[in-house]
Amino acid sequence: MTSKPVTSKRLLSAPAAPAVKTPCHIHPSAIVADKAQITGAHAVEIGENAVIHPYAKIRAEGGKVVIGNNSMVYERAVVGVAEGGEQDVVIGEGVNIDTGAVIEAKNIGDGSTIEVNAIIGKGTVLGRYCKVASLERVEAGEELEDFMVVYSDGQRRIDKTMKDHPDIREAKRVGQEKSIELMRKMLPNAAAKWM
Amino acid sequence: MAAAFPYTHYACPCSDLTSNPPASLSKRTSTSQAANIDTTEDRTFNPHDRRANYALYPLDHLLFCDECDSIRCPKCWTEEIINWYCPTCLFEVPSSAVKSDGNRCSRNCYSCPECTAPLSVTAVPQQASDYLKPTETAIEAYMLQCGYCDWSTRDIDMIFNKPTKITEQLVKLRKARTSASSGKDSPEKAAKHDSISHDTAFASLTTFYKGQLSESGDPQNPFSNTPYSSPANLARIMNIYGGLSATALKKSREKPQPMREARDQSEGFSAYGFEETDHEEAITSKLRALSWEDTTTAEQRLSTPPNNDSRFADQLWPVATQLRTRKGKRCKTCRQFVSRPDSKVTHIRYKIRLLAMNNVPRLFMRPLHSPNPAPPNPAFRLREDDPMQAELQAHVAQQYVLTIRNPIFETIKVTLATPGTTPGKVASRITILCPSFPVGPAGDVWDEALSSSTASNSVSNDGSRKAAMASLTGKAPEDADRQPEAGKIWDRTRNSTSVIVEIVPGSLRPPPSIVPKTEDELAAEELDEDDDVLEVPVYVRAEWETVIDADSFAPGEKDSKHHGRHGEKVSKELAYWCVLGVGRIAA
Repeated sequence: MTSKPVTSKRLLSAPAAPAVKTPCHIHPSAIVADKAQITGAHAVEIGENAVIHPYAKIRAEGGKVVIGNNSMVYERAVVGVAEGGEQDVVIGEGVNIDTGAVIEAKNIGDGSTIEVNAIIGKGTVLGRYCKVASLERVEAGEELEDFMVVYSDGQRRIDKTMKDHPDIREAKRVGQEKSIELMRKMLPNAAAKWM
Repeated sequence: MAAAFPYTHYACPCSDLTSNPPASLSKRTSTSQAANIDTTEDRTFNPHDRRANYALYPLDHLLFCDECDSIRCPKCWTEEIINWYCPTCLFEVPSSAVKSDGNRCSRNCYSCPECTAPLSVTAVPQQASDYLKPTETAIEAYMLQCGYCDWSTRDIDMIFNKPTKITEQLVKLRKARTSASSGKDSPEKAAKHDSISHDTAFASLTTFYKGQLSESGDPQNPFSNTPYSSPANLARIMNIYGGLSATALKKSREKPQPMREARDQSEGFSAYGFEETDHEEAITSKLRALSWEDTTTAEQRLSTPPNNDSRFADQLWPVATQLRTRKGKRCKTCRQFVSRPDSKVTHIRYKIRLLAMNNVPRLFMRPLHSPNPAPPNPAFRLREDDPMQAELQAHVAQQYVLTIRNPIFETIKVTLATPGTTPGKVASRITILCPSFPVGPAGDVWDEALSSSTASNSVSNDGSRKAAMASLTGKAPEDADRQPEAGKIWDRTRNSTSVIVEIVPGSLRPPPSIVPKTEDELAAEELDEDDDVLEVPVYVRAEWETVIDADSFAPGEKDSKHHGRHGEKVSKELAYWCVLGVGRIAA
């Protein structure tokens, strides 16, 4: 029996390893889970105390991605534009991006919350303390004012409670810090993998 | 009909379309005109009749009254409220509280006026003040906040002192606000003030009308039997036995004034004039400044009485949750409960639930030969359309298997009757090859497992190779070759029997006639929507014998139907029309 050249076949069938190592600047206090995915050739900046959950995807293929201090990116969320786009994505401070959300925005203001499975289109600019409810869409190019709430299949309103009362904003900030503390205890940090 | 083919709809005997059984089908002729069908004379249920839809129901919409032994449709039962409860807090509200306080929850269950999501009581965060002494206790402040759209009562500048008894605090705050706004108007403006607040209007109107009712001597209850109900009677009796005082006697002698309506603001009635008042001026200038989203929609205004007058979104009040009811259904004739849910709110079981499904033989129809060899597993079906959805060709005979399933625990003898041709504009010929047959009883699942299937006649036990193959594959080897025979049952299982029905769909266009038709006749032959649906009316009659046990009726009660004593057999029968939807006839 002749031996078949198996090695070449094996190479072809193996999945292609990422060719480029993403240049990441991860703050030493940030937590990036082991199963998180950071891809792309552009820079990725992760700020102080930020938390990236397992299976979150950060695509720096079209432009750089900046995640601000005290922000959280939950499981299966996708931050960054897809193939073919050319755009940076900047996430502000204290921003919560819930499970499954797709963020292709140009800028998300401080203190915003993007709820489960929401879709933020390309080139959008969200103001500070915005809230996009679950399964909502913000179409490409839109600009949301500060304190805007997107809810109920496309309806918009201004969150007066947040706008007129700084103590409520302060309470939100404190709440976000507490969540981050909790996640710090639960997630083992594997940021060294990307540094 | 919107149901997917094949369907079976059952007719309740309450309708006069269905109350008469067919006289004799062999005498049926097919000369009846579509426009002249008189259902009472014809005695065949015409499913294309315009009123037929009101009598036909799918089986899961029907209940069964076992006292009357008949099917009950939604028109034959009365609903009775068993209890009231709040859907948010699941608190059961006694009906006395509902009559006095209204049909909304009075316990902290509120919905957001902007997005109708439930509001939760949250603490207002305290301002961290550097000058706060450690001994000073923080001021407790609460608000209602929406979890979905972030609306809160702070948008209308409302804060509560304690987290419980929100309703009380809301009422107090509302009174404070409405009295404050009405107190702002000076007395001379009040005369020009066209509209009064909702709450004062409501209170004045109720007092006014209550007064009118007592003054005018309205006949309170025409069905009560008291001898004092009419004012004339009352006056006469009081005259005979002496009145109380001069004024009372005078009143009783005078003719009572007829009841009148409210006339001015003191009685609660307010009219709108043509002159613009300053009050309206303020509203219109505010409307010019704000945008569309800042005004309220009609839905928001109707959501709760405090919102009836609010024009702007910053005047919207939280909406109290409306209470829901648990209803029981009673048979109209014998007042017995046919469906009775548990009175405890959290229990979703029923105390009594008499479904037609469990008491009435069920009919299913399917084609005998399916045109495409579809995989038997419905999960693998790629497309929605299956053999029954394809259109039927006119004048091509089709054979269908009609299965009767018996849900009760006795063997029933079923007789089917159907007109030789379907009534309606399109006449299709129907033949049931075996119209009368027995169907076995439904038993426990163990009966079937423990005993061999002796009722099944399609698998033989003669030890031949064919029989062995049949027992392995589970079906008879001659299945594909069997020919339907008249008078023979097609298949029988423990509690169902199948017979063959032959259908020849009629043509949609009537045959061309030699004599030219008049305009009326032409118009009568035009097909309306759904006239091309082939629906077969079938009259089903089931007879069975049952043993009376003492528990089924109260001791000492005489019932004309149950002549027998305890333990004797009594024969029962159930008869109803049903309509089998077969398919659409191709043009």
